[in-house]
Amino acid sequence: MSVQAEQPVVVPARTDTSGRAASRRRRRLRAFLRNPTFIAGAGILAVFVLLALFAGLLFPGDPQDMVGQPLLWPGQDAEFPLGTDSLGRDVLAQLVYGTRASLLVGVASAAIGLAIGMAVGSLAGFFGGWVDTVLTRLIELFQTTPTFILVIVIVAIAEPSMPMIALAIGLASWPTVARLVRAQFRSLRESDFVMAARSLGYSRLRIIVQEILPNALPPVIVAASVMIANAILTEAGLSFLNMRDPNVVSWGGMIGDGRDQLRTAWFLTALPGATIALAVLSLNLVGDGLNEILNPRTEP
Amino acid sequence: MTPLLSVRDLHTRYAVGKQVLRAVDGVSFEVGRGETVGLVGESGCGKSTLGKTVLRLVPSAEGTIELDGADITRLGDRAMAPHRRRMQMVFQDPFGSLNPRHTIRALLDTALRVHRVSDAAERDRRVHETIAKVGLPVDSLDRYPHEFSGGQRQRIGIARALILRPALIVCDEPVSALDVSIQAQILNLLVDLKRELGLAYLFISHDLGVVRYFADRVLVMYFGRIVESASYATLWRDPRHPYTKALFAALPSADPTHKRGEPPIKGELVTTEQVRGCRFHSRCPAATDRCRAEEPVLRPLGEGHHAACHYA
Amino acid sequence: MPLLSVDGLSVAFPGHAAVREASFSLAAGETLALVGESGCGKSVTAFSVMRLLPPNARVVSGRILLEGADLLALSESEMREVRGAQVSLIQQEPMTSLNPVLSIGLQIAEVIRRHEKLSRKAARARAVELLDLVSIPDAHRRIDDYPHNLSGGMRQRVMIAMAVACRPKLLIADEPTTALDVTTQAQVLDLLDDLRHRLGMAVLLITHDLGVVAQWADRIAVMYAGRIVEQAGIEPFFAAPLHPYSRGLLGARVDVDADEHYSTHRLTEIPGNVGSAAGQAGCSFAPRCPVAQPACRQAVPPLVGLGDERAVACPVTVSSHSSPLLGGEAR
Repeated sequence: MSVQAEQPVVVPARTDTSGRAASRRRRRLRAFLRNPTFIAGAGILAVFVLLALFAGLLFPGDPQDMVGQPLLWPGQDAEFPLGTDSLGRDVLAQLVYGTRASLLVGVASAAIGLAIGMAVGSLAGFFGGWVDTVLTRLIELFQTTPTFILVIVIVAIAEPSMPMIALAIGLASWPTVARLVRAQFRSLRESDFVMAARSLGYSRLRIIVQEILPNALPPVIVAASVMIANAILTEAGLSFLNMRDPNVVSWGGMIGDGRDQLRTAWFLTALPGATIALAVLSLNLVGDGLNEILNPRTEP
Repeated sequence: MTPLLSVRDLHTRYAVGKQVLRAVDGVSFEVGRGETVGLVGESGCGKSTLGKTVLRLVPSAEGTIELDGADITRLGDRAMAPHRRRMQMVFQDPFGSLNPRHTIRALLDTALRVHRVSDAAERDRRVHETIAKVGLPVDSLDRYPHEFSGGQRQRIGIARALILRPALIVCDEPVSALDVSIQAQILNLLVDLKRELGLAYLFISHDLGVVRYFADRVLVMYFGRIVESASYATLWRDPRHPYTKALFAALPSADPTHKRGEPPIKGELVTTEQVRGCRFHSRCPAATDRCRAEEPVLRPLGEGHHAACHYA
Repeated sequence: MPLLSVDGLSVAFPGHAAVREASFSLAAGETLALVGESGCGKSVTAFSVMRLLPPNARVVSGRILLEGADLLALSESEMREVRGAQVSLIQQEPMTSLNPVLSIGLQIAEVIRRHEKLSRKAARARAVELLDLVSIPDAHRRIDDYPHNLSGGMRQRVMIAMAVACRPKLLIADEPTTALDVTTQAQVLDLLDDLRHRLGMAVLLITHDLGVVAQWADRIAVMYAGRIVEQAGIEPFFAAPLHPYSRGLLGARVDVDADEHYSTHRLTEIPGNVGSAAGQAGCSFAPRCPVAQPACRQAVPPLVGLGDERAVACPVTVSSHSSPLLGGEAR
C-alpha cells in the first residue's frame, strides 16, 4: 500500500448543494488556468482562430488579387508589412486567409478521423471476438500504409478540392484514434460500473455511448489536438506538391509558390513556414496541457 | 412452491491462454424467497464468477439457471430484460462500480428509463424514495460519485440495485472494501432492507465470520465446487468438511485469552493444477489414498446439511 | 530505554494533518499493534519511522528515537544504512513489492550484500537459509523462481525473508496479511510471531483487524483521525476497551466467538464517518461519539495515563474511570 492511499476521504458536508456543481466547474476551470503549457498553447491558437474568423474584415477583397508591385520585401512598403510575392499578392493577407484553410482542413479531417476511429475502436473494443479480429486487421492495414502516400493517392484519384483533402487526411488518420479507443474500451468494458449497467439491462448502444465513451474520451481529446496539428502539416505538404485547391490560399501553397525565389526572396517560404511551425506548436502545447489536466490522477 | 432461484449443475469456463480454467465446475443450489444464502470461499475459488454467471453477466458453459421457475440460461438480451429487474447486484469496489461521469440522479433515473418507466414524475418519486431508503440525504442526488466516502458510495450502489424493486440481490463482497465501523452500517442496512422489502440475497464473501452472521444458509465453495452446505446454525455447531473447519479455525478471535491452535491447513488454493480425486486433498490434514483417487460428491448428512468429503 | 520511541510526531500533507502529536514506544522484542481505519494516519506513522514519506508530506514536529538516536536528524545516506539493517518494512501488497524481472534469490541476496560484505556465493547461501527460515519448502530449488511463480502467501514469505535478512531490531509490518486469504493469514502471522521470538525483533504491526491484534500483538495503540486515542496491553484492552471509539470498533465487528446472527443481534454502528469532524475544534470523534459532552467539542482531549501502560484520550472516560464505578481493576 502506498502512503497516498491514506489521504482523507473527501466527505461532503450535508449542507451546501447549489454551490456544489458550480464550485466543481470552478475547480475544473482553475485547473485549466493554472496550467502554463495549456495557457500558452491556447493563447496562440486563439490568435489564429480570431485571424481566421475576421480575415474578411481585416483584408477585404480576394487575397489572390495582384495588388502591388511583385517581390516587395517586408517593411519596404507600409501597405504590405510582410511584402508581396512574385505575382504582387499581399503576403500578410495570404497568411491570414491561409489560417482559415489550414484550421478548416485540420478540424474537418480530425473530425472525420475521430468519427471513424471512435466508431471502429469502440466496436472492436466492446465486442471483442471476431468483430475485434476483423477490425484490428483493418486498423493494421491502414496503419502500415504510410499516411502521406495514402493521402496523395486519394487526392490524386479524386480532384484536389478542400473537402476532398480533408476527407483524405481524415481517412488516413483514424487508425491512431481507433487503437486508442479500442484499448480504452477493452479495459472499461470489464469495469464494475459497466457490469452494473449490464445487470440493469441497459442496451449495448447505451452502454457504449453513455457509460463507456465519456470515460474513454480524455486521451482521445488529447490525441485530437495533435491530429489537427498533423493534418495541418499534411495539408501543407500536399499544397507544396501542388496537390491543392487552386482557389484557396494555404500556407503550404505559399511555400510551394515561394520555392522558386528561395535564394532571392527567402521570406516568401520562411514566413509561411514559421506560421505553420507556430500553429503546430500551439496545438501540441494544448495537447500536452490537456494531457496533464485530464489525467485522472490529477483531475480535481 | 418453486424457489426464487434454482441453479442446476452450472459450469463456467474461462480460456486462460491455451488452458481452460473451470471457474465454476458443476454447482447446484437454490435460493428461496426472502432467504439469505451465503457463499464463502477463498480468492480464486470461483464464488464471484458464480454470482456473475447466475446474473447472466458471464456466459455459462453448461447447466441451467431458473428464476421464478423460468429458465433464463439461454435468453437473449431482449427476452432477458424483464428478468433483469428481478435480480440485481451490489459490487465490492464502491469506487469502481459507479460511473464517475454521471450524477447519482442520472445513475438511478437511467435504470428506470431503460425499464420503461415513462412518467417523469413517477421516476422522480421512486428515485427520492430509494435514496431515502439507503439513508442518504436527497441533496446527494445531484452530486458525482467522487464526492462521497466509501460507505456512502456503497449505499449508492445498493440504491441502484434497489431501484428496479428486485426480488434477489447478489452481493459480491459488499463490505470487504470498507472500514469495520462502516461495515456494520452497511450490514445493518442490508438487514433492514431485507426485512422491509422481503429481499433474498446471495451474499458472497471470503469472510466466514460475516457470512455466518448474515446468512440463513451457507454454501462453502472450494476450487469451483460447493464442498459443504448447511444452515448457519448447523454449520457453526457442526462443520463437517475439513476445509470448513479450517476456515473457522483460521478466523482470528477478538479474545486474546482464546488461544489459537496451529493453522490446521497449509499451502494455498492453486487454481491452475488439474487434480485427481478430492480437490482439497493436497491441503487436507486427513487425506487418505481414497481422497487422492476418488472425487467425493455432495452427500446428505442430515436435515439440509451436505458435505463433499468421504469421511464427513 | 525503549527500542523505539516516537515522541510528539506530527506529519502533514498539503491542507491536511495526517498524524497529530503521536507518541508511543516499543520495547525490544515486543509487538505493538497500531490500529485504526483507513486514513487514520497509521501507515503515515509507520512510513515516518522508515523516513519513506511521499515528497509532499512533511514532518511538522516530533522525534523518532531508535535506541536513543533521532532518525529524523539523520542524513539521507545515514538513513539508508538504517533501513533494511536496523529497521525494515513489509508492505501490504506482495504482488507489487517484488521486482517481477529478478529471481527471488537475487532480490534477497541484494539486500544482504547492500548491508554486509559478502561474496555472491555466500549471499546466495544465506538467501537459501532465509527461505528455509520463512518455511518455503525446497528452498534451494525455489531460490531461482521469479515472483510470478509464487502464490500470494509465498510472496509475502519472500518479503519477510528480505525484511529479516539483516536481523533488524524493528520490523514494521504494514497490513501484512490484508491481501491474503484467512487460512494463509494465520500461517504468515504465525511465521512473523515465530521469527520475532527467534530473532529477538520488535514488531510494529499496522492493521485494521482487531482479531489479528488480539491474537498476535502484546500491546495496542488505537488511532483516530491522526491521533492516538487509546493505548493498552492486549488483555486489559479486549477485556474492557475504554475509549468510545475503541468500544465502537469492537462492537461493530462480527464476533466470531459469540453465536451472533442478524436475526437476533444487531451490530453496533458507529454513526457517520471519519470526515464528520472535518474543520471542527475539539475531539475529532465527538460528532460520532455516543457519550460526547459539550466540552469535547471545545478542546482536544490529551492522552491521560491511567497506570499499567494504559492511556486514553477521552475526558468522559477518564472521569468515570477514576470513579469507583469502573475504577478498581484496571488501576
